Amino acid sequence: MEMVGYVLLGLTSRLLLSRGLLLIRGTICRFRMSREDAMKAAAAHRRQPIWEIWSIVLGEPPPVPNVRTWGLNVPAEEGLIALVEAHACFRGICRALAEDDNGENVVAYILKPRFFYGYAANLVSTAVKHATPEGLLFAAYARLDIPWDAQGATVGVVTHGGFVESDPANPLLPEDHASRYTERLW
Amino acid sequence: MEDKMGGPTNKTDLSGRYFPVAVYYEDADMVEYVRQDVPCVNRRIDDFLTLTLKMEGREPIGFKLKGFKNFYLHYFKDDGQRDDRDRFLALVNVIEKATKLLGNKIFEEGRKAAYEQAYKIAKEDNAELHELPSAA
Repeated sequence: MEMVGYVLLGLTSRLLLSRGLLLIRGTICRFRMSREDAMKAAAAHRRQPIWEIWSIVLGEPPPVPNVRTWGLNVPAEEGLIALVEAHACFRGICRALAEDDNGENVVAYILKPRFFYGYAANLVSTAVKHATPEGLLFAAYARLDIPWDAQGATVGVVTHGGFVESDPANPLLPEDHASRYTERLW
Repeated sequence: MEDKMGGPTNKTDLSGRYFPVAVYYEDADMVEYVRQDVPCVNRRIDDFLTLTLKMEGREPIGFKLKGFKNFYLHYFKDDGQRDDRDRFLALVNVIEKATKLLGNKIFEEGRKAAYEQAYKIAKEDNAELHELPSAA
């Protein structure tokens, strides 16, 4: 289907902006999107993670037919959030990831979206807007390019993301954030 | 055209029905098994396992196993091989198949383990659950 190519190409060709990757908050960084992983998800008809990346990391409704006009979604963009609006950032995910024994070169951006899009098996549109339940945050993970090149066009690749439960004592941070990440950057 | 991850990506059809399957994501170095393509919440158990809970109701519907490539690089990598990535990707089908069988066993055959996990999670959340469904 041509739509597939459009949805995935649009996703993977984006350069994401994020602020404050390193210790200085406010620095603009650009990331690539994980192309092959998005392709694999789509090949398995796994649309939900792709819809979440569109609506929470890119800050746009997934570009599928009628998404902006379907009554359930209007206003389609209101309440969406993008990576650049992350309110916290951690470095090190305390788990092995390929050559990185402890995920030290992975950063986790924490976002609190009011709304996001989910897959819907519906004839009108395959993306429906959801309100994010209380107590949930979205963590977007990016692998940094090593060796680090701050002057490069991009500094890493956004690999995946997902909702996590928030810390009851600090609802803007993920539960167990102290043990789940190596350090908080901001 | 087959891509290196083993999927015919140019023939992908996003409108197709989702069936439970295990998929290895190389950039994230994790294999995911999930029963339904619905909004989920991730609950980290440890550095190897993350549970996938349905956002609505927090029912366990899958899991993620992490760090397979790291394990491969540590214990199976042949330094003399230059096409190491290709060798690893050749094993991905095995990982995905094994994970799918594991997932089906946990979530499909009797569902007892899933109910037990749900009970455990409910207990962690201090939710009241007086008895398990008879199917459990």
